[in-house]
Amino acid sequence: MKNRLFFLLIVTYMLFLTGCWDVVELEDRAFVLGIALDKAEKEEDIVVTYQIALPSQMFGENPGGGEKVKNISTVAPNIIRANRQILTRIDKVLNIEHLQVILIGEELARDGFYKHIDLFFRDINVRRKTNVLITEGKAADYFEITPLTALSASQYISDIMRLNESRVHQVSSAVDILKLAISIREGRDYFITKVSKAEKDVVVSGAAVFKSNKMIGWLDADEAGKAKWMINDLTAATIILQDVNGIQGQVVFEVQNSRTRIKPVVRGEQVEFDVNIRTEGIVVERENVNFNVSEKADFIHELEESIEAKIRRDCMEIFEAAQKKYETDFLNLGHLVQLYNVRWWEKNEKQWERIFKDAKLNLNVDAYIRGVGLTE
Amino acid sequence: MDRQRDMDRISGVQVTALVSSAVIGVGIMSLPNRIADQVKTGATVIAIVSAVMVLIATYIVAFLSRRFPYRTVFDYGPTIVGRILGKLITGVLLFDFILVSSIVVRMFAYVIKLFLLEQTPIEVIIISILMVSAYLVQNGINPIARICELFFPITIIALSLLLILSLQNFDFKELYSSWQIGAMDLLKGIPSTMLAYLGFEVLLIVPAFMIEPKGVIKYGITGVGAAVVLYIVTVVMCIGVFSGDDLRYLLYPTLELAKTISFPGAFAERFDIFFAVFWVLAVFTTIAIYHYLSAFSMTRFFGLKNYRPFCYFLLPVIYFLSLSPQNIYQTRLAAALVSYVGGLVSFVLPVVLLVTALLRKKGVSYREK
Repeated sequence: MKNRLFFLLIVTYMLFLTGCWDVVELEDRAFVLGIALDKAEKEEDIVVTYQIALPSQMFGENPGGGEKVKNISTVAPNIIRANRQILTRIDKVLNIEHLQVILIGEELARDGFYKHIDLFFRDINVRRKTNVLITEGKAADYFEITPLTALSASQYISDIMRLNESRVHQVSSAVDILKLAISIREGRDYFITKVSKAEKDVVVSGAAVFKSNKMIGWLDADEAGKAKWMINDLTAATIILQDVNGIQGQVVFEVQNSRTRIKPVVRGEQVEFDVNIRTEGIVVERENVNFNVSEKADFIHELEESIEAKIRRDCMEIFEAAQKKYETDFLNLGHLVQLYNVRWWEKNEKQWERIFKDAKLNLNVDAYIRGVGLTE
Repeated sequence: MDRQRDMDRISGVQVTALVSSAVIGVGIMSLPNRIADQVKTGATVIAIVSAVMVLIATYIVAFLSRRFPYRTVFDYGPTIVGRILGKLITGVLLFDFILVSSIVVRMFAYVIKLFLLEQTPIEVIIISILMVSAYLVQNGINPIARICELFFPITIIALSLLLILSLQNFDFKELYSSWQIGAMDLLKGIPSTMLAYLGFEVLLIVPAFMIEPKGVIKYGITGVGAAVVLYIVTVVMCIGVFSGDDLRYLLYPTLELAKTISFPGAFAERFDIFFAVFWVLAVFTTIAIYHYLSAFSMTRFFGLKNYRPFCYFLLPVIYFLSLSPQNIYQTRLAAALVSYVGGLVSFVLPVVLLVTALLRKKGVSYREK
């Protein structure tokens, strides 16, 4: 009797050990690698394209044959509706935990995409470090690319951002969901990395400028690089100078270490930004190799001065572009003013657009050349 | 009675762990948001000033407990203010402990449902955690203290790891505006922040079980101190990552903080799940402590000796109370109301008791010896 009772108890306990209540088996999940958003014909709709990984093709017995990803599109007013529509066409459960990249088409960006992407900010399963990029042309087209060095276009673009954003001056700093959410919720202006199509692959460089959550124009690769000086996000840059100190030919300077400090100074309704840039680096290339640096003592010094002048010019140009060409504070200098002087900001927040147009920039650049590589 | 007490004793370090575990609970998830709801800037200052005030309040509670060694507030309450008022104090405490248990269980279940067990009914989550809690509580304060002692370092390490890893998204500039705060904002923000630090009121009862009650001030302050320091750092990190303005949109900023972390090399892409596991431990200790205190104070309220049956009698009460708010906003409103009761119990009551005790010269004064 006692044994039987014990047995019954064990069986009852086992009922509770069956595992997760709402488990979905791994093979029943469709892992979404990328989501592309495009403009649809109807005003309130968007075209949502999912790039779904096919693990059996990626890592199966004989990989290489056949498609590694499946792209699937649908038209819906928002993303959750698109998700549901996809579920009627696919035999798996969508899983966006491993989302690598969100691409947004240029046309949709110009109309304003912020209304459609609240799910990414609100949903618990989306990682906040997922990159957002604006594509030249239709976003869905980028998923058609089959890169040779990655398993999918989404991973390819995501890896370019992860690995090379900090190595290339012209790739504007990564905008992830976290940053985008803050900018949209706080009503700031911003710029997002641009990706454009090459013949067989993609080019990530430049940026799209947003004013009031609508895209108003592109920054080209050089301008994106200039903007990087102003937001203290610069980790690498190459500066090319012509004919320094009477030496013919180009000299290429590579930044290794750089720091930008911007301090807003408020006088009444006039705002000035004191920009201090301190940059260190080495000479990496020189067209004219037939002379010895140690023989010309002031070469280094003059090179430093030319670099400083070049950086000053770059900063001035991007600042004036923001003021005059785009008429928007996409460098987010207004937030700096807010941080330094909350009272003033609360009083003048409404007129910031006007005040920003008359703002001044005081530049103080220090460049140091620490080395010349292995040849003198 | 004495025999049971002798078996059921706790050490000073265990008191530290117990108090700390009582303070660190569901509050850590939403604290930065609660402060940001009150004021636009200056959350850091408010967090620090409130923490100092909470430490002062802890000192008062611990000082009061030290005057009455081996006795709980249910014993010395009547000695100080008379039998009827003493009974009233017991009643208010009982009310507070039950309400706190319910609201903590509910908020815990809500968060767990949100990102771990999406399809599981909230009732099942609540029943499970309450059953586990009852299993721990039925054996007295000593097992609870030992569990706290075990979980406390784990919680601290997990939270510290979260805060350290958040440095990758941290922008020091966001803190500049934190110090620009007006006196009015400060006054507006402090009360609600102080209520978020609640939990040290367990020192009204727990020191009675201490082997060496003299050290209660030292151990109590250490426990609360560790908790408030963690809270302050959490607030600072959240401001640095999300900027002070944006915090008012985030329901659970600390959870959000865990979501922003990415390990290099895509190892463990979702840190938030890892963090949640340890957060469950922290909340479990809070629930167990308040569950125990509810059962204990109920026993005293009815003048009985064995509190054990009450652990189980209380389960349906806590269960139904925890399910009474219908949505997240009602839950938050209920939490705010409960914290006012908690404020009364932990800030007003000890001061009144202490002043009366000093005036009527009740209890042991260590200086006179």
